[in-house]
Amino acid sequence: MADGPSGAKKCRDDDVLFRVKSKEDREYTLSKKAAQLSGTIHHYSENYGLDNDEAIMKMEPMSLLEVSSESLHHIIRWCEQHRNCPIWEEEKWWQNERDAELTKWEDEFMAEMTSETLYNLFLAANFLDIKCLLDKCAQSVADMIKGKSVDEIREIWMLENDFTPEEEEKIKNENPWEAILRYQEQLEKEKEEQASQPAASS
Amino acid sequence: MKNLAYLKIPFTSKKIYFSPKAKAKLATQIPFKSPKIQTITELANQKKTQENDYGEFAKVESSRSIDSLNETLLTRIFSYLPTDDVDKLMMVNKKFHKIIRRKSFDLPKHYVKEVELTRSSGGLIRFRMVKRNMKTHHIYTNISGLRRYFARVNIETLIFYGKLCDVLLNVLSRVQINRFLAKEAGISVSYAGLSNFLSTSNVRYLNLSGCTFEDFHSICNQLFIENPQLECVKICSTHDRLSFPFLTDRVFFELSKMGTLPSQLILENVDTGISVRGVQILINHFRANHPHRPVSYLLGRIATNRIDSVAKLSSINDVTLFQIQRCKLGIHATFGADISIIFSTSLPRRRIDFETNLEKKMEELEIFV
Repeated sequence: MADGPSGAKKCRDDDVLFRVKSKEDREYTLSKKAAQLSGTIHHYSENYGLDNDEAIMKMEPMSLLEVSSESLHHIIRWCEQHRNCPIWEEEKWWQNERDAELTKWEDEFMAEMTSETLYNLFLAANFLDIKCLLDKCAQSVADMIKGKSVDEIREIWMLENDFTPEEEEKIKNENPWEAILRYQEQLEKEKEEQASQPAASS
Repeated sequence: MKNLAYLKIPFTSKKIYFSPKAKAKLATQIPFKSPKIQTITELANQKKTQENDYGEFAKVESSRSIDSLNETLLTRIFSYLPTDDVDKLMMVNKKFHKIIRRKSFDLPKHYVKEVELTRSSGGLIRFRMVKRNMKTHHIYTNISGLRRYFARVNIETLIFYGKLCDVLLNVLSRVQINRFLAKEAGISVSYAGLSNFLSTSNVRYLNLSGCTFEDFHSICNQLFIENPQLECVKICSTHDRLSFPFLTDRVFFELSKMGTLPSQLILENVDTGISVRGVQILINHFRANHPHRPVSYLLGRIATNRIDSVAKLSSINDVTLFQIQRCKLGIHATFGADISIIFSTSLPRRRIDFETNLEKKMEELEIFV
């Protein structure tokens, strides 16, 4: 497998290594800092008392039955590259505190993904709960959809049009924004009703 | 068969095979990013054959597709799309339609072309929204009602009429706004409220035309220093002359150090604490760092006099000074023509220019009339 974009970070000798196993039973290691990017590994560590370096060094490899070796290899590369980034905070880190070098690395990383690798990586990132990678994958897929017509989207993704002609006509005449606002108003009404019910009953 | 190439459909493992002729045609028409076109020597593993519009040899290998992703992941993908694309996705199939209708409020990046807010003296807000497809919606609400419409929206231009206060700015801070225009508005906001709004909403273009200010502190050095994203600022008064004494040379000094001077700063009918020293900093900055960047500065009435101006501006290299009159100072640079400074007197309307590019004499510019 390719080593990826130039300047990719790797585990150092003095790193405390976290052991993981792919669904093909192949073992990989990643640094403790890199492993912390994954919500799933974080919860695993908490549940299995892997809260100190000694425990991590003695640990049995964590089985990731949903993640293939190839995806795991890419995920480790991603995590090692992002290990010094601040802990994920809803959008802020992603949008405001990114350095150009890291962005360049990410773009190179995504560019070398084939469609199938990207699909598997997206699922694996979801399983391991790595928000920054999930968002990057989602963004890459969204970029492929941008600006396409409905027919083009169907054609590209081989999606079937399961609307009846009547339904299709109705949707075309529907103003989506109005529908969204109407739906939001409806939700708020329901909330208000729910809030007023206990008050009335009491 | 050996000459065939295939195109991998992004995010699926499907492949479309086509002839060299079809490949050449495709190269200009491929609808997706980073197409991976490879010539193959073996087609032994192909499973399913199907003709499509891409070429006479088109064959599709089917397996995983975007459709098989769960709702959470699809929502995450859709959240990166502008509203128009999300609208289109609603028409693709029933599954997408259902998800988008249900999850619309989780989609963070609704894009709205223009919003016009008019606040009456009674506090009622008339809210006109123009989407990118030019469909217009009129809504009447109050400040608290405005919050829900502004949840997770991206607005290209927001035009405001009426009275602007800190509470309203706080609501507007929930939105990403590229251009903010207040027209003939009564501005009674603190510097901190305005600064927080500009930075949170990431406003790049600020235009306050014909506005009245209750607090002359609102426009000060710190406002600009805390908002280096501002690319264009216009503050114009059509009636009384405005005064912002806390806007001084320091703003140019600090922004020049950060390298984030706006490309346009128009202060019309405005008095400030800026002196000819600030002009000197500006000229030096643009000459040294952005010699060809088109910039436009109109600094209103600045605190200077003829002798001081001549002395300070003459010290700048390569500047030829023809004549300077005390009054309004405008700086203008055109692409490739270097920076020119134009002085004008109010009455009679007369411009005397001096220029930094000796080969091209600036003509009288009407933009400062």
